[in-house]
Amino acid sequence: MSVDVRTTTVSDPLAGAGYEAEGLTGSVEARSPWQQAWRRLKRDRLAVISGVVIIIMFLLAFVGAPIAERIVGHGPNDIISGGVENYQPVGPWSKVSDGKGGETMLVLGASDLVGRDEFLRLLYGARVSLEVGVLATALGLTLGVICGMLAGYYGGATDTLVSRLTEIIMAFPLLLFLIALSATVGDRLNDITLGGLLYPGVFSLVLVITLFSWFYPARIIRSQVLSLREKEFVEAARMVGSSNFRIMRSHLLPHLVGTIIVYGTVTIAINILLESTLSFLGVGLPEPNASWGKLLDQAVQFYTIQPWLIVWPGLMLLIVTLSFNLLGDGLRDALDPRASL
Amino acid sequence: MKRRPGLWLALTAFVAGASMLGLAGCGSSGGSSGASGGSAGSQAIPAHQDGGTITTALNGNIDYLDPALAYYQASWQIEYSTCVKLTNYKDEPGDEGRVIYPEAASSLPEISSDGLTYTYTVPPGKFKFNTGEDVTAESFQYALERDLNPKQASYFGSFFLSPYIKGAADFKGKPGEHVSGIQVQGDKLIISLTQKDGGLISKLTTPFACAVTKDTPIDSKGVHAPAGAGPYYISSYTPNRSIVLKKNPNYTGDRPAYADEIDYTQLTIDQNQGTLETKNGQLDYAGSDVVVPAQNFQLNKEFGEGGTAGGSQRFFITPAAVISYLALNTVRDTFSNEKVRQAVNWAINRKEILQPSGYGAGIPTDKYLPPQFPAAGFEESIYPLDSADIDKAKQLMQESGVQTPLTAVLYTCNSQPCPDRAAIIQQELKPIGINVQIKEFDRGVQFTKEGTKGEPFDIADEGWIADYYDAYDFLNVLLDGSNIPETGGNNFSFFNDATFNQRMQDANQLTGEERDKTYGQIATDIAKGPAPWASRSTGTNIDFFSERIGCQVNQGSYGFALNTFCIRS
Repeated sequence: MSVDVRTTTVSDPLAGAGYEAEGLTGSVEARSPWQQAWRRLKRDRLAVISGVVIIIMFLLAFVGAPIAERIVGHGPNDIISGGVENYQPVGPWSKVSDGKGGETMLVLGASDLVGRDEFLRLLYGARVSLEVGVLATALGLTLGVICGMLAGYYGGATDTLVSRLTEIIMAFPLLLFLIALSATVGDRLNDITLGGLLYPGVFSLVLVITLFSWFYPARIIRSQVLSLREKEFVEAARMVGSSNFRIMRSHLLPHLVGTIIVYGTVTIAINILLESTLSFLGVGLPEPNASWGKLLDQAVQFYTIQPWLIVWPGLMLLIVTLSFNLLGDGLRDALDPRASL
Repeated sequence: MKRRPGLWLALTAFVAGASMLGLAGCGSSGGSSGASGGSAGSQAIPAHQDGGTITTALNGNIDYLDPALAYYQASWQIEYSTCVKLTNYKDEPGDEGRVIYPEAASSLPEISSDGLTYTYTVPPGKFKFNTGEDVTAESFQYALERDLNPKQASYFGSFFLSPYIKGAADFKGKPGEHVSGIQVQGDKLIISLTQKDGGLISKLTTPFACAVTKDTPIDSKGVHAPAGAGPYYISSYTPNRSIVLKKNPNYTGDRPAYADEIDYTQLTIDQNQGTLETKNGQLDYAGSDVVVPAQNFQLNKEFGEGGTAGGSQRFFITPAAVISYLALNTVRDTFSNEKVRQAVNWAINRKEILQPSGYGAGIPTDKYLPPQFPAAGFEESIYPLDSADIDKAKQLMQESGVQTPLTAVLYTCNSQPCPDRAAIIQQELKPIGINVQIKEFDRGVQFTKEGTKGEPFDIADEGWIADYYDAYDFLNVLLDGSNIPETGGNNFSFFNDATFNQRMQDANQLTGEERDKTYGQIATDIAKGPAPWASRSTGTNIDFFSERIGCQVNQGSYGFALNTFCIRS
C-alpha cells in the first residue's frame, strides 16, 4: 500500500542529522515533493534568472508598454512623419517631428518607412508573442493531456484512434499547413478579440497553432499513463470503487503535472517562434498591430543599412525563448524525484 | 470567363516594386550605334568587347517564355530581345522608343477605308529564326491563331483579339482550321475585323504577336524555349532555376547584339543578395524586382547620375507606364455613394502613401492614365497630390448624407510595402469617419478575390501596368462594366455606368488625336464624377548594373533592352 507522504510525519534521517548538527532533535514535518522541487529549483541559478526574465518580460509587455506610450506621447501604430529621413527609418535615440508641430522621441528609432516607433512596437509585440505563446500552449497542452490520458488509460480502440490521429497530423508538413490555414481560416477569425482582451488576429493564431501543438504532449502523456495505469495505487483505487474519471483526475493527473509543466515551458518558446515565423511570412497578425515576427519581416529590407532593426526583435526572441527553455530545463531537474537535494 | 494567370502574376511583379514597361527618356547610357549595327541610344558607345557572357537574375518574377502566355515584365523584357514582330518599338530611350515602326512587315499596315481590314506585307526571308526557318506572313498568322486557340488559353487572344477579329470567337483550333479573319495571300497578312479597333496596331506590337515557327506546339502550360527571330534566342529555360539567351546566328536585322550569351543564373534570388552581388560585380544586371527598394536612396546616391562612387551611371530610376490606385467597390454599401468616393480622393495624402515603397518608387498622381500615354495630356488633374484636404473631404461626406462611421474592408497583399501602405490609408481615412479593416493576402489570392463578384471588400489596393500605349488598355479594360465576369474580372471597383461604357466603346473606334482627346475627357469625367478609383501614383523602373556593363539602352517601352548590353573593355 502506498503512503501519502504529503500528510505523514516521519523522521527523516537526513533532515534529522542536519537538525542534530544544529542542536535540534526529534521528529520534523516531511517536505512535500513540491517543496523539494522548489528547493532544487532555487539552487538552479540559470532557471531562477530565466524565471525572473520571463516575469520582467510579462511586466514590460502588459504594464510597461502603456506606461512607455504615455511617456513618449504617441502610440505604437502612430505614423511619425519625422521618423523617416531620406526614405530610411531614423536611428535610435532620435528626437523627431511628430507631424503636429511638436517633437517626439524615438528611443530605438523608427521601425519602418512609415515612421512608427520601434521601441513601442517591440513592447506591444511582446504582448502578442506572449499571448500567443502562452494561450496556444495552454490550449494545446489541455487537448494533448486529455487525448493522451484517454488513449493511455482506456487503450484499445480509443488508443488506436488517438495514436493514428497523432501520426496523421505529425506527417503533415506543419509550416505549410499553418500558412494555408492562417491564410484561409485565420482571416475569418481575425475579428475575434474576446471583448477587446486580445489583439485582432491573436485568436486565430492561437487556434491555428493549437491545432498542431497537441499531438506531442498527447503522445508523451499516453506513454506515461500506459505505465501508470498498471501501478498498485490505480489498482487500489479501482478496488475501492473509484470511477475512471476520478482515477484519471485524482490519481493519474498529479503524477503528470511535472511533465506537463516542463513540456509547457518549452512549448511556449516553440509557439512564440512559430508565431514569429508566421508573422515573418506575412500570414500572422493583420496591420496595424506589431509582433516580433512582423518587425523582423519589415527589418529584412533594411538589414544592410540599418541592421539594428533586425537586432532588437531578434534579441527579444532570443532572450524569451532561451529563458523559457532554461526554465524548462531547471523545472525538469527540480521535478525529478531522483535528483538530490 | 477564364482568366489568364499571367495577368495577376504581372501585377505581383508590380507590387514588388518592379515595372519594366514604359520608360521616360532619361537615364540611358547607351550608345548610338553598335558593332552589330543599328541605332541604340543618344550617347556614344563606350569601348567594349564583342562577345562574352552577361549575368543577371530574377526574384521569382517570371511566368512563361511562350509569347502567347508571357505577361511578366521580365518575360516581356526577354521577348523584346528574342522576338520579331510585324511592328515593333526601336531600341531607343524615351518617346522615340514608343514610336511604332515596321519590323518584319515592310511598312505599317494598309487600312481599308471602313477601318475593318488591315493588310501587312511580310517579305519572306527578311528575318530568320535561330532554327534557320524564314519569318513569313504564315509565321504571324500562326502566332495570332495560337493566341486565339482555346487550347492555348491566351489572355491576349481572349480579351484583346477575340472580340474584334472576324471568326475568332468560333475558332476551335482544329488541325488545318484557320480564323476566317486572318488570311495569308502570298506575302500579305490580311486581318479582317468585325468592328473598328483603333488600337489594333498597338496590340499587334506587344510580345503576344511575336512570330513563332510553324512547329511551335499548342500548350497551355507554355513552350519553354520557343525559337526566336530577334537578336537573341532562348537557348534554354529551366523553371525556377535558369534561362540562357544566346545570340541568334541567323539574325539579319539591324538591332544591336554584343554579348554572346545572357545568362539568368538565378530566378529566385534574394533581393539583398542580388543587390549586393550587383554592387560587387558578381552579377551584371539587377532589374526592378531584384533591387531592394529600401536601398534605392543609398544606391542612387552612390551609383546614380553624378553619384559619389564616380564612373559611369550604374543605377537608374525611370518613370514607367503604371498607375497605382485604390479601387472603391461601387456595389457595396460603403462606397455606393459617389460623394463618399470623392471624399476618399480628397482625404488621402498620395505623397505619404508612396513613402513605404522607397525612394524614387513613383510619382503621386490622381489621374487614371499614365503620363506616357498621349491621352493623358488631355486628362485633367482634380485632386491634391502632395497633401490631403480633410475639410473638403469632410464636407463631401456631409453632403453624401451617409451615417458615419463607415467600415471599409481593404484588400492588400501581405508583402512589403503593401501592409505599411495599408496602415497609412487606414490612418488617413479615419478623420472622415471611415474605419478601415485591413485584410492581407498572398498577391495572387488577393487579385483573384478582388476579381470575384460578391467578394466582401470595399477598397482594393491595385495597380496596372500598360500592355501598350493606348488608353483602351486602362479605361476599357479596367472600367467598362458592360461585361463584368463572375470571376477573374479586372474591374475591381465593379464600376458599371451605361453612359461611360458607351463612351469608352465609341472612343475605341476613333484614331489619332481625336481618340486621345476623347479618352482624356472620359478619364477626367470619371475621376471628377463617379470616381470609382482613388489613383495614387505612377510607377518607376529601378535598374542596377555592375561596373563592367555598358552600351545599355533604356528602351522607351520595355525597359533596358537586354540586346543592347555590352561588356566594357
